[in-house]
Amino acid sequence: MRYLLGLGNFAMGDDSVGLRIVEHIVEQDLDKGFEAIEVGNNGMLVLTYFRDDTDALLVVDAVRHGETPGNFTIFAPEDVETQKVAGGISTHEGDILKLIELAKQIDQPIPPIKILAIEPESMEMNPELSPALKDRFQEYVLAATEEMRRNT
Amino acid sequence: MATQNANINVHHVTRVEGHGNIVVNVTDGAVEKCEWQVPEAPRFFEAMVRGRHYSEVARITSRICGICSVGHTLASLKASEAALGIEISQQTDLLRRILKHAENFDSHILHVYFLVAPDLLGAPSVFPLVPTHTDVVKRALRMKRLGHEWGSCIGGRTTHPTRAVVGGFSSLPGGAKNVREAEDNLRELKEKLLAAVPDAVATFELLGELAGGIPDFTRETEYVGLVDDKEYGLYDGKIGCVMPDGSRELIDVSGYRSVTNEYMTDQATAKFAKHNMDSYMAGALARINLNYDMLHPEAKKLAEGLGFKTLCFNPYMNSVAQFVEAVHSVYMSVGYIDQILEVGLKDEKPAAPTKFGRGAGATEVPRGILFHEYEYDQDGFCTMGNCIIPTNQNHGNIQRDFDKLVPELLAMDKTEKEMELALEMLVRAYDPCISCSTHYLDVTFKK
Repeated sequence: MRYLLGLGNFAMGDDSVGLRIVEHIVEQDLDKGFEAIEVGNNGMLVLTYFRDDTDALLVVDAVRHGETPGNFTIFAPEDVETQKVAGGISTHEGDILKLIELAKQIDQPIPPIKILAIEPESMEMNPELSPALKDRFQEYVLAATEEMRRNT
Repeated sequence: MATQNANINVHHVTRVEGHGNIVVNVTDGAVEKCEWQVPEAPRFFEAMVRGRHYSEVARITSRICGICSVGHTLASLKASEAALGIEISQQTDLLRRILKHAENFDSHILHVYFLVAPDLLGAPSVFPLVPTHTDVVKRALRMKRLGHEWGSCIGGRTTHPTRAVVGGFSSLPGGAKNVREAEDNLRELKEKLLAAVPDAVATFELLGELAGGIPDFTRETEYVGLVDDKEYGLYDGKIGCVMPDGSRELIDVSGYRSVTNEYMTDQATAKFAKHNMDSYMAGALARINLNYDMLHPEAKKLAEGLGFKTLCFNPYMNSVAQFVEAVHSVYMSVGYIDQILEVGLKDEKPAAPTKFGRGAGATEVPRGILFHEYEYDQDGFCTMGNCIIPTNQNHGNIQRDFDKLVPELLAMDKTEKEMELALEMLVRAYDPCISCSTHYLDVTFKK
């Protein structure tokens, strides 16, 4: 099974971009050949998709990675290092890289994972995306669906 | 000799959802400042639902919280159904109860194992525990996965459930194509639940070993939660209030504002709440204090084994209460499945509105009692929404706990670090879920 997982908080501006992409893909019936899931801020849920029968997992999330806000990059977790200093794994400070680290430590299967990283502009309380991300939203949807269909 | 000076400034308490700050200043033995601060801005959900059709409202409000999205969905559906004059079927009622238990189980496992256990094991997070407590971490993840599969079977998915709609369910359990397949899905879920019992028992054994690390702190307060005349109040019931002397009061959900009495303070942008006393507690401890006799016998037996007694006035025991509830949820859901299978699952269509007006709904979420209220116009579009979440109802009680705890810690000659930990653990015990949490990654590419 192939999974597209959207992480974030709907109320926190660009932090919600992953959720909105998943929401759009489901509403537009674009989730063919894969399952699109809103993980929201229930980040630990990601670990339930770390299974032997998971063929591919694409995480769509707001990622500060030194790009211009609105730009996006697709990479594998092993390509990057986290800059977050928080040491815990709370639902607040946990992220996909920490979850992968945890899964490795307990010998849980790690499926092939890619991250569709969208550089945020603002992650303050706001029920909408910033203009920089809103303008390119369809590009993100296309990139996510193309990535999910790759090698199927 | 009591501690004379302390300066605690914890910005963003770790292992809680969102941002909350602890500020304590003590000079020459005098407490100059002692505050639980919640810098939270409005989230506009009540504005977002205005003008939306009743069929869309629960989907929108489920986004208020990713951990409690089932609870927000169910409270929203119940409020809409009250406003629309909809009576749900017995089958819908039972399936929703199973879904509610799944959410509570899932959230409680996350909280007890990943957010609270590190405190009791003297670790800053779960990571240092992996090499020393590998089996415990594996068990926690096994139970977390069960919570996910349990909720997904009924709701379509655990976070932001899709199948629970106004008037019933949009599809059968497990997304089955027919009733027989759906019944098989329920049987499979029942087997998974029963298979989790050894993990639950092992967790209680662990809690028993760690119970000595739970701070001994008592402050009498009022407890508020659902009370159901048929069972432990979780999905449905009236608003129950129990006072320190054991006196009780039951209030219809439509009168929820007379209980919450929200007000603003200078120390927080989030609203606080109060009822008979100047604060009250909602959550697992409140529910157990109100519903102890209604616990499933197996859960009660394990609680008694830990020496749990009601009324319990130690807020740190909320985490233990959560795990008692997790076990209760397993057994209750098994019972609900049996009830459904006994009469036979039906492929029901959601019930339709019989009126358009105003209605309130309440359900318990992991952190306490949750209220939604809506008003609909004659075309079924929302004209008013109000949501009161349990975390906000608990802020005042956290502050009152701080007010009593800090002088006690000073008198015990605790160091600043020890005081800081005790206060952080107290906040974590309430399992607050503050809306401003973000979950973005911050990375650099490896050379």
